[in-house]
Amino acid sequence: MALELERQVEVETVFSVLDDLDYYRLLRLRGGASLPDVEKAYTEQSQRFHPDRFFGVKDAALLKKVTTIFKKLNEGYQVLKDPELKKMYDEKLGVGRKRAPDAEGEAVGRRSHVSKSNLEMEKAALDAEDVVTDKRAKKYWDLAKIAESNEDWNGVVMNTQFAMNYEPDNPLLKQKVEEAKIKMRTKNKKNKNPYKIKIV
Amino acid sequence: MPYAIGVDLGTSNSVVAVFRGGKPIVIADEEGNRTHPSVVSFGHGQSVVVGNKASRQMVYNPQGTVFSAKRLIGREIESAEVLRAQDLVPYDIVEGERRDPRIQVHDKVYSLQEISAHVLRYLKQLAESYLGEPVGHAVVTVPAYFNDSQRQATRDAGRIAGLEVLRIVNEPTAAALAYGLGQAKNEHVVVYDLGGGTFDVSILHIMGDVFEVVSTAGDTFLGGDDFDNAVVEHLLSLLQPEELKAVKRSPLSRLKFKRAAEEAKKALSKSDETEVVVEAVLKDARGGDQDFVCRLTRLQYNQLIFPLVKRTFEVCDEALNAVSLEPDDIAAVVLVGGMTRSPIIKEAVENYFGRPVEQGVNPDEVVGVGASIQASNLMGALEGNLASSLLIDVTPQSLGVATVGGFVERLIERNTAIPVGKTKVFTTSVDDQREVKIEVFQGESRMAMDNEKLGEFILEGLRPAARGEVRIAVSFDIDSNGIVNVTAEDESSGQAASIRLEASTGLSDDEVEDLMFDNLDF
Repeated sequence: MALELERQVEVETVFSVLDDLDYYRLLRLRGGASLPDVEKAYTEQSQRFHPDRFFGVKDAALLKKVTTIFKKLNEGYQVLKDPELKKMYDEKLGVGRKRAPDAEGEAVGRRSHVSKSNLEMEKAALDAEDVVTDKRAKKYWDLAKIAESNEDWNGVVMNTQFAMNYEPDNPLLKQKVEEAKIKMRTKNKKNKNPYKIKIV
Repeated sequence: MPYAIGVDLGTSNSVVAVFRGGKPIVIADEEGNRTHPSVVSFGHGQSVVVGNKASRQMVYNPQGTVFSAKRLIGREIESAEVLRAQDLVPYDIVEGERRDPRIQVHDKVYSLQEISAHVLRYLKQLAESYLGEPVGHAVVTVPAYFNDSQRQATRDAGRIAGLEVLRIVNEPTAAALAYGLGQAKNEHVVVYDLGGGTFDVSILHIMGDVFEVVSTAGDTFLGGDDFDNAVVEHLLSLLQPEELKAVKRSPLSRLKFKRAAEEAKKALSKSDETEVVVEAVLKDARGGDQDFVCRLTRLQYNQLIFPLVKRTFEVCDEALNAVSLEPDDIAAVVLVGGMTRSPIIKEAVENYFGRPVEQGVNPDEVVGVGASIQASNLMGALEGNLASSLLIDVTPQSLGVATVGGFVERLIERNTAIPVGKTKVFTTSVDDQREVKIEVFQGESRMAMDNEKLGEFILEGLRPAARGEVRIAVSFDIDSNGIVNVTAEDESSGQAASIRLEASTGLSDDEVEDLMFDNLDF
């Protein structure tokens, strides 16, 4: 079965920044999210990234990415739905650790670090509704704008989605993705050889 | 789109269902029976009979009629369960090549996978004649507490029967799916599943179309058969020592007592007292056949089964405690398994949870129905259709590796959502060590010997180096079927190896290939 391009892009996008996403960003949540918010977010993200949603896809590399994303979603959900683990995690986020606290105190997998000042800046960015302020989001947003000027709609979607991982609630970004997707579809209809993402 | 069937492969009875025209349909045999005894009867020559017809053969052909195969599949010959089964079944259990139990019938030896494959093939044929087209895919359910080797063996049985098993689903999870489908609920439900051979309890959080298992616990040694056996033990205790010896020697007599116990159990769910008659199992003074007759009251029966019922609530406590829930937090209780039809069980469950159990769920069919829904979900995803429910299941048992001193180091805790993986780094303990042996265990005990050993493997060809210098990252993955896969990678060289953890008692791929029914004539 051929997987829709959009879903491929979504997986590639999230996977490529997975190590930089803390659990809140991965689940597209704000810092103060309540338990029902966390549950709702997990449900929505599972609908997108549970491996069963890719059942029968032959592309082993893509499936591996999906599974990796889903595993981290689970990890995040286990932490954020448990008040004690959440508190520990929030504290650790402050000092720069992003993975679930392990029972033996040993985090498994790759770790990434973020400085405290960075984190505060990102929080501020989450509150800004109309502009892209996060440094990393801005980087992708600039790339998206370049892509747009080249009428590379696929590039617009991908880079804007990258940016959205840092600013999930920014309406400007959401709108841009929708616009670009529409443009992409119209272009694909016209173009007999639509651009395809090659997944290695 | 081709149909995929849902199969509840039960210890005593099986169900086959298919999702067709937007709803699940339970498929009946030509006599109209909607449940099919998981019984395989081998006649002399090539004839094999399965289902209700086979069940009737039990009395005429006790040594050629195999039942309760699910109790033995994927186990070791020396396991307590196999030893216990040996006393209960009239057919012969012999040792296979890998310390696995096999069944000997008329001088031919069958693996348990083949026995289950006969049941699956029969169900497949029922579905094919109902649908009027060939069926090649299935979702098959297993008790939540089935371990890796039991799951692998079940999947191999499917392959032998000519079915690609899309997914192995836990029985209580399937039941919850059937219960909550399309209801847009947001609540915690409990599935209390007392089957013929196993007891499972699962707690699910249903959030709209997403069914998340949050906790599961069970006892693979507790089921309806044990309730029958409690009654059989009581009946046998009424016999004289000489009579008892004679009965124990005769497979047919033992079977007759078991049948009588089943009858009594059913009768006592309707009336307060019953007469138990076991025909022609005793001898009178002149050597003629004599019936065994006694009375059994519901009160006596309740006393006999009380320890078993109590045990089920200990398991319920365990499942609730694991996620810090109280019986009050549960919005619905779904009963599964024929045993839950018994008023005594139903009443006890309602007392425990402080609420009436769900009506309108057929405890015999709900698992098969759930399996057909999941089969349709997965076939739908194959076709790119995503408007369906999503199951997020957990691994019911912890996974770990053996360490020095006979202990187990846990890598994946029970009740973790699957698929899941964890990586552990192994190093060498002596200079120039060329291989590392890794033993994998499933279970909750800190001691290796108290857990189920899934298998062992050896990492070979390590590069010679000082001890501790070679670092091998071993990843343990549990896939969506609950089956364990292992991959190993040398961190410095990047050299990788992938191993499917072969169940020590399992059949090899080649053996499965050789046994496939499509390659044989019947």
